[in-house]
Amino acid sequence: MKPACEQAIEEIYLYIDHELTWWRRRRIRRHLANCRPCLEGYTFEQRLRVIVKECLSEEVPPEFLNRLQQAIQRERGTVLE
Amino acid sequence: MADQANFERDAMPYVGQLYAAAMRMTRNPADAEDLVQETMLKAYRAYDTFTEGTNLKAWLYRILTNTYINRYRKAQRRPTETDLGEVEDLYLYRRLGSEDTADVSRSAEDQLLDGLVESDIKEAVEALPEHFRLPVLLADLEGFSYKEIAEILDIPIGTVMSRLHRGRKQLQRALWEFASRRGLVPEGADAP
Repeated sequence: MKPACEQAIEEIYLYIDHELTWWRRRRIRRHLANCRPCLEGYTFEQRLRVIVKECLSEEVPPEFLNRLQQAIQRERGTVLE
Repeated sequence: MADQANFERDAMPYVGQLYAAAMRMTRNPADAEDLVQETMLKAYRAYDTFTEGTNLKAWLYRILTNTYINRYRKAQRRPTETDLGEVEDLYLYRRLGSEDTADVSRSAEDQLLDGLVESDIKEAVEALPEHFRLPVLLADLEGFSYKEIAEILDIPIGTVMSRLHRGRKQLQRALWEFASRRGLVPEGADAP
């Protein structure tokens, strides 16, 4: 692997996480624009990230929401007394 | 200071996200409900100490993770940390390519990403040891910044970065195993 690719891959998670300073972001963006293998690796990581996020979401059971609201209202009652 | 009277209006919109995180922490709905309820009641009681206009979501997650760590963690089975010495960056992606070429076909990618089912991903996350699982959940499910995660978990930002990095690698390795079992990897792709 070329040094430029190595450097880009090392920082790819920071890039995806929006945790790089603007000039390092720019350096990666330029590299990705010119390097197909790195761009494809990056795209794959992005797709995986979206899928993981989607799969981890949960439907909150409506009965639980009701119970929770009641519990908070009970708490409010005891606080007011 | 925040007004307790506004608590439900302000905090209830986060219950869905808190519940999703709680499910991956406790691994079952009954405990997740208990954890979220306890979190919300603690938050309600302490709401007059919360500074309005600051990060309510991060504040709620801090209560959630502290409650989880103090109360539920002790009873949990502890997943073990895999030795990650040999796991490289872009692990899954690179596994999809053949040994000699770095080329990964779009169809191999699609086959893997479309073939993994929701339960694979959930199980793979739940199998992470907790010191990896919490940062991964906070970053990849909730989209918190490294700095926010450091504050929520009360660990240095460098520790957040290294745990996230290693947690994601271990997650990818687990996903590769699910994918191999489901026959989603190209022939000739090497096993880890």
